[in-house]
Amino acid sequence: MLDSNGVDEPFAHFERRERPIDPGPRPPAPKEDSGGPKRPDAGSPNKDDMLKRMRKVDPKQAERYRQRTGE
Amino acid sequence: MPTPHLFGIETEYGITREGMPDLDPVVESMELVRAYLTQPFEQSWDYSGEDPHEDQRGFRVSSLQQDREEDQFAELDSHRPFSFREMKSDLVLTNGARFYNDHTHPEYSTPECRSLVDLVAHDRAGERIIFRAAQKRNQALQSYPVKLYKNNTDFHGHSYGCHDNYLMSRDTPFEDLASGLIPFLVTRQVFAGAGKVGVEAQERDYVSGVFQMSQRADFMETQCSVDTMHDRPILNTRDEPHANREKYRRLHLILGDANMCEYATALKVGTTRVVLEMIERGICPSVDLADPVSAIKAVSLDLTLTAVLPCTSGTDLSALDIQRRYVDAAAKALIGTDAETDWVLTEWQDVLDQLAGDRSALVGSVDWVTKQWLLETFMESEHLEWSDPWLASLDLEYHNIDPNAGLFLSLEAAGNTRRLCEDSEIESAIHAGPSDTRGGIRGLCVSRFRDRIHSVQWERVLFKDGLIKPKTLEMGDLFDPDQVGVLREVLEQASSPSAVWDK
Repeated sequence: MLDSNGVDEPFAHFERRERPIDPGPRPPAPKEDSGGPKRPDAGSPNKDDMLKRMRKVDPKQAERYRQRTGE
Repeated sequence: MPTPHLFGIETEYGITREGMPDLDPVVESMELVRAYLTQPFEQSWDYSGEDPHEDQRGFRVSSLQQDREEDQFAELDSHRPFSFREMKSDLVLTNGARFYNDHTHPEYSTPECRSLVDLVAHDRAGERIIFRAAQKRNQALQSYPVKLYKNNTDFHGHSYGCHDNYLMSRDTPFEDLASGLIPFLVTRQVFAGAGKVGVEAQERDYVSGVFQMSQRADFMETQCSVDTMHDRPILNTRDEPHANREKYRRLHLILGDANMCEYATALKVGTTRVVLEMIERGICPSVDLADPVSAIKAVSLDLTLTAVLPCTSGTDLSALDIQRRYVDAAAKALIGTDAETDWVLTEWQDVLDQLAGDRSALVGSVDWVTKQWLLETFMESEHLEWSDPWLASLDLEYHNIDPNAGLFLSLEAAGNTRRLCEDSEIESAIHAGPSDTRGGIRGLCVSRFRDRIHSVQWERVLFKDGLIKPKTLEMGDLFDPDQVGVLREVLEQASSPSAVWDK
């Protein structure tokens, strides 16, 4: 699905809604060396590569897949 | 000193052998675990701390719903040429983890962790350990290679778990725990769900044509119960603290999905820990869901996140409303507690904002959003409908832990997922446990004195060195990081286990 800029927008069909309640005070963003988990950048997925990979998946593998109940 | 909320994750993996008819999952799981060994298998796991009949509500049940089925399997297994312990094949690894065959699934239980980065690294280490075991097994096999999936369903009504565990104070009344946690847990799936094609129920009724948020929601059938394989509860009441019973509980949550996204794992556990903190402080928001079991299924099926969930007070709330109540209360009370809590609060608010608006930035961070994006991209390309069986197969392949085949791992290899730890940290976690928990101590005992260990379990290690009976390293109360550090130093320098006692 393309947005108004002609950019592929995979989630454009999701309904957008206002924030339902006042979020209250926001904590400050952690600093780079704050000790929390880091935030590396994630690039945009290359659709062609992923589609190629997905086409190799056996369409029937889930039908054959059987497990015993676990916890 | 407040109780440290140490945490850990147990994951049961799906296992199959490609193209093999009449697969025996007992043998396959057992052989997979043993393939990881570099020496003959030795039985050292001590089961004495395990009694799944003990209930946190203060009683012991005489039977579990799964007992009859377990007895039937035991009868079948009694004809096999190996004992129960041999079938389980419990390994304790040098990183303090437990790797074994649980209910015909290879299960990896991380060591106890104190930080989210450590937890993510150890969860990922588990994936790689199991994949390496599969590689070794496949080298020995002539045909039908082993395949492993970090997911929770076989799309035929059989589910297997990914359990998150938290150390907490015994002083917290169970009723407070239940009322504070259940609304949060019902709605946690909005960022922790792994996504699933189809709808199913326990051992029956798979219906395609639907994509939902959670793998496990379909299998939640009651609010609180000690059972784990039938009538699964939102809040499991099993009382196995694996620690000093007088002082601690272990919260054992079985409702969660196995996450491939590091970010989802961290946020799932981080937010749960924050909610436990609020419950212990008596500041948890009150949400009176009328029917939590129906609600958890309704949330999973509502990808718009706009459905309102009936509350007994008459103020109906959406899943995002409920999550916002929790994060707002937490932000007011816990901001500035420590860097990791601040990270959790910031990300929790951000992810709720993104779920309510533009979700595209969550591809690679939240599993169900990532999976939905992948599948819809494929459907558009191949002109498929949700009912096409190919989509369930792609769903399964998302969770394949072979980096040459798994769809999530392909995204990760291309740099399209949000990473929270380095590959070098995962590699370290394969070999050594956290430096600040007893999990690391357990691993150190294994790496330094494997031949001297008589038996081992979560809260103690027994060494053979006693003159009359084994000497015991008790860890049921070992949660102070300074004490862990002192013991670690002693263990690292000791020439034998007896030298530890001498010091």
